[in-house]
Order: sequence, then C-alpha cells, then structure tokens
Amino acid sequence: METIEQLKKELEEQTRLAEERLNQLKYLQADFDNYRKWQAKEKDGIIALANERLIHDLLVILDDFERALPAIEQEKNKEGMQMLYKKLIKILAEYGLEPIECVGKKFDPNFHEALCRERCGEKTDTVLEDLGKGYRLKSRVIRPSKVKIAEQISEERGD
Amino acid sequence: MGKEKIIGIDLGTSNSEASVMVGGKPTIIPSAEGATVAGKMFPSYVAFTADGQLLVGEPARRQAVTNPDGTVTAAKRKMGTPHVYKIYNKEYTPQQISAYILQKIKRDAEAFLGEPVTKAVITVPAYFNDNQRTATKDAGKIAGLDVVRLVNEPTAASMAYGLDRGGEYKILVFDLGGGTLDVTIMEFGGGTFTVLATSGDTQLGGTDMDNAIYEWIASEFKKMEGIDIRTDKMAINRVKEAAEKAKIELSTVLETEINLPYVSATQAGPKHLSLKLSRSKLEQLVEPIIKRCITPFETALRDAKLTKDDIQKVILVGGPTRMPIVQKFIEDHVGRKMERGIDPMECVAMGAAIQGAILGGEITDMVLLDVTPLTLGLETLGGVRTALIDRNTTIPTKKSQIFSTAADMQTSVTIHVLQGERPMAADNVSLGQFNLVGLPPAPRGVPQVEVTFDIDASGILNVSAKDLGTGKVQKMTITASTKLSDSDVKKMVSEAEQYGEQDKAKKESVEVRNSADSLVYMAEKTRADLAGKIGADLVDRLNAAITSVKAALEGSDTAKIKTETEKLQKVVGEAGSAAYQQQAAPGQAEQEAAQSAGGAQGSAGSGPGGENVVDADFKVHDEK
Repeated sequence: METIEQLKKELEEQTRLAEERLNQLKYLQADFDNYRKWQAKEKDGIIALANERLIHDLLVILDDFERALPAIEQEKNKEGMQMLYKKLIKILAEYGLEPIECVGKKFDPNFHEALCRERCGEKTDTVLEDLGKGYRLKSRVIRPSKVKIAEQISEERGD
Repeated sequence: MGKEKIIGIDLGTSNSEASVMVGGKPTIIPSAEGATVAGKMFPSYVAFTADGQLLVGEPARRQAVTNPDGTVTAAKRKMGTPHVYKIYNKEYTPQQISAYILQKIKRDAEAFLGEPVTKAVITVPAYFNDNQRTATKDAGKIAGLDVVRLVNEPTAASMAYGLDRGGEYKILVFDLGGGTLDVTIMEFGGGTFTVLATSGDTQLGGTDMDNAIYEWIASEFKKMEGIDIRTDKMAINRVKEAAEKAKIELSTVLETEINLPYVSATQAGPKHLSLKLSRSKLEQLVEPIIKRCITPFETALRDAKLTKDDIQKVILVGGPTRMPIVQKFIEDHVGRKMERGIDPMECVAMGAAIQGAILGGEITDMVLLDVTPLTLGLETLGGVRTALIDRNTTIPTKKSQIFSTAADMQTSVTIHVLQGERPMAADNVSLGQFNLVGLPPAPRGVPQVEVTFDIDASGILNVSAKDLGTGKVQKMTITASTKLSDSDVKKMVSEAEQYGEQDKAKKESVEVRNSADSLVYMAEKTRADLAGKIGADLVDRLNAAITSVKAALEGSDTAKIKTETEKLQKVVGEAGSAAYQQQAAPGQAEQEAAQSAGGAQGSAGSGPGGENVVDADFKVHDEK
C-alpha cells in the first residue's frame, strides 16, 4: 500500500512538473514569436536610424556652407558654391530633411534649444535669432534649433 | 498574453535610461526623443514652464538656460531629504520630481513593448541609506510603478557581466559618470552581493574633461588668431560640442581634427579654427582630473580592509570609462584587467532588467541556455571535416544535411563524427563512428544519405544516417560531446586559429584533388556518352588529358593537379560543344553533360561539382 501511495505522490509530482515545463515552453514559444515580430520591426528601425545618423553628421557641412557663402567675395565662386549647397540640400530633402522654422515663433523646447535670453520689446519667449539651424528628418527632430529668445521689458504681457 | 515584463531602470543623477529583456537579452528602451550625444540615455531634467507645461528629459534641458527657476536637475542628490522645490508657487518633493522621470520611462517602455508596464526594478547607489531608498520606492509609486526591488548600481553592473552565476570573488566597480565618481567594493558568494565599502567624489566626471578640452581649444585659438572665442556665445557652443566629440573619437583613434570653419570674424575677414588633437595630448589635458580618482579608489580599498591584490574582478561603468587612459589608470592601479564586452553606459540598466526578469520568473534554471563549445561535423571525401553544427550554437538544436557516395557501386558509408575547429578531419577529436550499410549499388553521387545531428538540452548528441532510397537508418548516441573542460575548449579554438593558414592550404589541396577526381569521372562518362559523336582527334586529346590528370593525382603537387584539371576541363567543354555542333537539335542528355562539365569548372577548388544536391562526398568505406 505504501508503495502505491508513494507512486501516486510521485506521479502527482511528475504531472505538476510536466505541466510547469509545458507552461514554460508555451511562454518561451510566445516570447520567441514576439521576438521575431519585434526583430522585423527593429530592422526597419535600424535602416531608418542608420540614415538618421549619417544625415545628422552631414548637418555640419550644411552649417559650414551657410557660414562660407556670405564670406565669399568673388561673385563667380559664390554662384558655384551656392549651386553646390542647393544640390546638397535637395538630395537631403529627398530623404525627408527639412529645416526647423524658428525666428518670430514662440519658443518650443520640443524643437528649439535656448542659449540665451534678451530683454527687448518683443513678447516674452519669442525666438529672436536663429543661432544654429535645427532640422527635422521625417517629422523627427534630429537637431533642435539653437536660439536666442526674448524677455519683454514691460511688465504687462499679452498681445 | 504572457507574463508581464518587469523593466529595469537606471535612475541617474545626470542621465537616466531603462532596459527590458527581449528574447532573453537585455535591450535598452529608446527614448521617444531619439538618441542624444549621450547615446540612448536622456538627461535627468524636469522643468515647468511659465505657462504651466511639464517637460522631461531633452526638451527640459533645452530650455534650462532661459528658465533656471523652473528647471530641476540632479534631484537624485536630494532624495530622502526634506528638501522641497518651490516652482512657480507650487511645491514639489524630490520624489515627485523623480516620479516625472519615471513616468516618462514608463511611457517610452509601453510604446516600445506595445503593452502596459506596471512593474520595475530601480537601481540606487550602494551608499543610499534607508530614507533615500524609501524615497526612490515612493517615486516609483507616484509614477504608477510597482517597484519590485531596488538594486545597488554596482550589483546591477556586475549582473550585466554575468558575475552572479556562481563563484566567489571580490569586485571593484568604478563608476565614472558625467558628474560623479562612485567606487564600490563588493564581495560575491553564495548567490549574494555584499557591499564592503564605497567611496567617491560627487563633483568629478566627464564634464570636467570636456571643459579641459574646451579651455585648451580656446587658448590655442587665441594664440594663433589673437581672438578670445570665450566671449562669443555662439562660438562657445560650437567649441564645446566639438570638444566632446573629439573626446569620444579619441577613444578609438589616435588623432582627430577639430574643424570649425568661420568660427569667428574680424575686420580682416572670417577666421577658421583647425586644430589637431592627439590622444596623448588629450591624456595630458585630462590627467589632473584622472589623478583626482586616486583618493576615492584608495579610500574604498582601505575601508574594505583589502589590498588591490584581493580584487578579482574589475568593472567599469559610465561613458568616460571608455577612454583608454581611464581604463589604463584602473588596470594599472588594481593590477588586473577589466571585464569587457558590455557598454559601460548601458550595463546598470541592463543588469536591472536581468534582475527584473529573474524576479518575474522569466529566467529560471531551465531557461538558462547552453551552447555547444566546439563545432560538430563529420569526415568527408579526402579527410575533410564538414561542419554540421557550428560552435556557439544555442542548444537544444537539430541539423540535417544530405550527403552521397564517392565511388560507383558503393554500398556502405562511414559516418565519422568529429568535434573541433580544424578543417581537416584528422586534426579534430573523433567522437565515434558507425556504418550505414546496404545501400543499393548505384553510380557515385546518386544515393542520398540524410545525416542528422541532434543535441538535446543536456548536451547529448544523437547522430543518425538515413538512406533516403531504402529508408534504412543507423544511429549513434554520444554523451561525452560537451564534456570537454573549459581549458580544452580554449586550447582547441586557439589551435584552430594558430594553424588556420596551414589548415586552409591542406584543405584546399584536398579540394583540388576531389574536384580533379570527380572531373576525371565525369570526363570518362562524357567520353562514353559521346562515343561516335565527336571526332577521333578530340577523343585522343580527351584520353591524353584524362591520363595526365590521373598521373598528376598519383603525385602530391597540388598546383600541377590544378593545371591538369583545368586543361581537362577545357577539352571536356570542347567535346560538349562539338557534340552540339554535330547535332542541330541536341538531346537532353548531351545538354546536361555539357552543363555539368561547365558546372565542374565553376566549382573547381571549392569542392566536387555535379548536378546533384551533393554537398560533399563520403570517404569510401574500406571493408574491414
């Protein structure tokens, strides 16, 4: 009788263990399936991100062009440089790059980074100057505009 | 569906990030605003704007300069104190501020996982007292997160490196962040980490290094151009960014160029900044900062009543520890190499995610997967090792491949199971062999034998060979396959590297022989098939070429075999096209013969060709 009891117990234990393992297997399978789906999504993300990085690193060239252009004195050279610049912008625009508008708008930290504030007649938080052009890539900010913002001198705020 | 994921959060003084187990691996949760200079981390900033908007992370940092009263940074330093932030007439505790950061992480995690997240493991510095720990838990509660456990940051980092899987050792964790240094000495044993001592400097970090580089650039520029860029807000910003970028670059290259065209202008025109910065110059610049690390390091050792020789594991945490000079400093001071392989900026969050997975039951003993330490394969024609299961394949696993015979009318094949990394069978460890007999007599390459390697979860290898023609099966079980000691495995892998070139040459020579052999077979077949369809002159040349290849095969001059094979190939090709020209509409058989001759040419040197699905041929089994 005792052995039957013991076997019964053992069977119970084994059944419990089997169920537990089956359960673990199911979770693992589900996890794997989810992982596969996630991987596919991640792959698209990586491709987008790879472009984003490259384009982000190219932004300094756009900056350099913008600084160089006003400094060129010879008209012919200036024209040529202008053409190069436009061509580069056009290519990047095809990949979804667009500059962030800022001067005259209300400061928005989602798009702009404030470097300094100036007391003036303008309404507080208005962007006064674009100190470093910001860019969006397919509606995602890849570099915020660096801006100077206003602080109204008079106490009264409003329109 | 499934168990709820428990995320791991590194709630830092200057930066924060979170991680979660995905497919058994800790993965960093991307911040909604995208990557910043600091990688996937986001700044631990919280801000309230004058018009009542709440900002967290990057956007909060962007407006900090112009809204100092509404911006809170480093709230972690005030955790557990009665400090109250008064912002626009409202009061906030440090817990509440931290909760805003945790809420953002929760949102990002939910977007990333596509499911609700309510549970988290949060890391805290080892020196945090009860008050500080309770405050951290409360911050989680406010953010709607059930903090299932707080883990010490150095413990989390150690877990990311897998130091929680047995053994006993003393660990030094050197955590140099953006603005703080924490040195922790811990002991691991019996499954738990015990903190022995902590020390640090709350005002020391990567930002100090950036400033040192910035000052150097500014003074160099002043020397060269006579202009102080430190008065130009815009120039300052560009130079600071360039300084940080140069610092990061110099961790992987020895010299970098700082190029800032049109950085300034005078009456005489625009001024450009172009400077070369070498790693040794950088190291000279940051040396005073690194020297400041010595005191906390020594204090921690002294407090733990240990000497540097007691330390068995060194773990580096934080972005600046990627710098070779920082690594060298530590390794020199401890006299021991650091642990490698995990991003020092991500290891704390990753360790927290691993802890979360353990608590959530995601990781159990059963799920801890093992890998095969060495490649498993079998011997094929010419003593070549053909791999079936590559080393580092996660087990359990099962792989099948179809092989064929190497000689006409061969009725048995030998399956010789091998373990090792070398391309020639004889250089690997033999695990055993067996024969599959009773194959129906057929020309070489025709029989199809499916060989299956099946390793179960406990590392037992089952090998079976099945003749797809007759359905005959022969099996063998090998239990010792993964029983090699770690040092054996290391030795075998390093031997494979050491003999790599030599082995390659040997294997290539066998491949050349194999392909010569199979071409002779094919040429003889072609000669028989085309008998009477091609000119006598061509038949003579074919015979001559076959004889020369055979003669070459008697010797051991691989180059000669190769040239003779190529010659024969040409003649076989000629014979094929001659047969075409003879017949306006060539039969299917000839066409195939011509194609396989061409095919053999294409695969010369890479293994025996042929139109079958033959991947490799078995060595002819000699009847014993």
